[in-house]
Order: sequence, then C-alpha cells, then structure tokens
Amino acid sequence: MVISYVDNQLKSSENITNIGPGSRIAIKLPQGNMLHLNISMTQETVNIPGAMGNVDGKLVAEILGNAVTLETLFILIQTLQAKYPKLGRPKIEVFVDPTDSSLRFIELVFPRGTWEEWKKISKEIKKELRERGQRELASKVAIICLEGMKE
Amino acid sequence: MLGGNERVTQLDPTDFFDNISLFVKEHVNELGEVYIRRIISSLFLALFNFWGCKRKYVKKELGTKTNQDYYSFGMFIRELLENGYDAEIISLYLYRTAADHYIDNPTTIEIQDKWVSKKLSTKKTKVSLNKDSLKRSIEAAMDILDFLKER
Repeated sequence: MVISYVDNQLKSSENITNIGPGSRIAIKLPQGNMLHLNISMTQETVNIPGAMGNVDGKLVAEILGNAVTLETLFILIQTLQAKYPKLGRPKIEVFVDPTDSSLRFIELVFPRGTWEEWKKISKEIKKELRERGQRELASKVAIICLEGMKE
Repeated sequence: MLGGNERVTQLDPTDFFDNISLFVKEHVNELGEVYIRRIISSLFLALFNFWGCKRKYVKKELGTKTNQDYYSFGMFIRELLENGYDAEIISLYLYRTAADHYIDNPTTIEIQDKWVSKKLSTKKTKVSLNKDSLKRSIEAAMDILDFLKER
C-alpha cells in the first residue's frame, strides 16, 4: 500500500485518523490497481452517501419506521441532487421538537435554494414521492433550503 | 354541540386570516413585538385547530381522549410535509416556537439530541421575530390554509 484516499481526500498511509463507519477508502496497490473499501456501518452511526454527517442509525430507523429504509432515503438524496444540483450537498439531520422532544423527523438541509425555490421544489418532490406510493417517506423527511430560511 | 360541516365552518380561519392580513398591512410600522408574537402564534394554532376539525368531521379520522378530538402537532406537521408544504410549515413552526417559548429577540432555538456518534449534540437555529418574519408567517399560513380547505 503506498497511497490512500479517504472520502476522496488524499492521505498518507501513516496518517489516517478519520476513518469511521461509512468512510470510503481507495487504496493504491503496489501493482497500480485500486482497491476500494467501504467501512460498514455499525449499529450506532451511519453515513448515507451523498449527504454530509453521520447520524444515529437506530434513531433514523426509529423515525422512518419499517416502511422506509435507509436505501430509500439514499435514493431520495440522489434524486434530489440529480434534479436540483444547484441546491448543493445536503446535510442529514434529525429534527426534534424543541418544546417537548415528542416530534421527530429527518431533515435534508441544503445550503442553497431561495424561499420561492424551496416552496416549489418541496411540492414537486413530495408529489413525485406520493405518486410513487412513498407517502411515508414524504411525511417523515423535511426538505430545508437554508438560504431560503434565512431570507 | 355542533358537529360535521357546521363545526368545520366555525373553526375555518379564513375570515380571521383576512382580518389579520389587513390589520398588519395597515399597521405594519406600528406593531410592537407582543403583536408580532401573538399573531404568529395564533396563525399556527388556528391552522392546527382547523386541520384537526377537518380530520375528525370530514375525514372521520377520530382523535384521542374523551371526545376523540385530540390530535398532536406531529400528525399535523407530517401531513403538511407529505404534501410538500415543507417550507411553509417548518418556517411557521420555528417562528411559533420562538414566539411562544423564547424571551429574547433575536433568539437561538437550541435542540439537544443524540444523533452524532452517540454524543449529545446541540443544534442551534437563530430566529428573529420582526416585520419580515410576520409577513413570511402570514404568507405561509395563507398557503397552508388554501391547501387545508381543499382537503
């Protein structure tokens, strides 16, 4: 092993410290071939490719329930990024009711998108989800455009 | 006690919202913070009451408690998320939380939850209650009301 990449960033083999569940590592083998490794998720944290941030896997599963899997969430993130690339890369977060913690849902927080774009995109994507029969996913994932929220 | 459509008509906030909107337009430069806080809070709760009423008497989906007329904020917010009103309900809910539960203005809504690597994480959202947030809340509430009336 001579060169390693962790989440697309070049690291020397002696200085790899940020590997965690969800990290993707590419190792250049002596003969020049690349070996790709995915660090599998543990029971505690999960990284969903395409989104920033590791979240508590159990908590996400608890919020999403049986009808929605992490794979469907992953597909949603990929669809949003392909359809609306200008929104940027989302951060995945858990919304907890600030008053009594009773309400929880998953937030996909995009750095860009105006107030008008936010309203339009949310309706478009949720309509598509409903038409695909994914009402549960539509009701448990909130799309947030930070730029629009701060306008 | 009235039931069915009569009860829905009683709790329909259309007239209330029209009057609030007119009042704000005429007095926007004179409104003190108490007015801004109380108007934002009442917009949210009027929508919540109307939604619950339609749920019980139009959709015949009974709530809980003695009269089967109790519904949670969570159910209300999830139905709006499912239908793509992410921008409207998230904004209105954050403003309502600041208006009803926080004293400073601007303030920082703080949510503590375990979502990153088993550690307790604090999520902070800055919220200001001013003329702009009042106008945004009225716009969002009007859009949500139009949607609820169609349900």
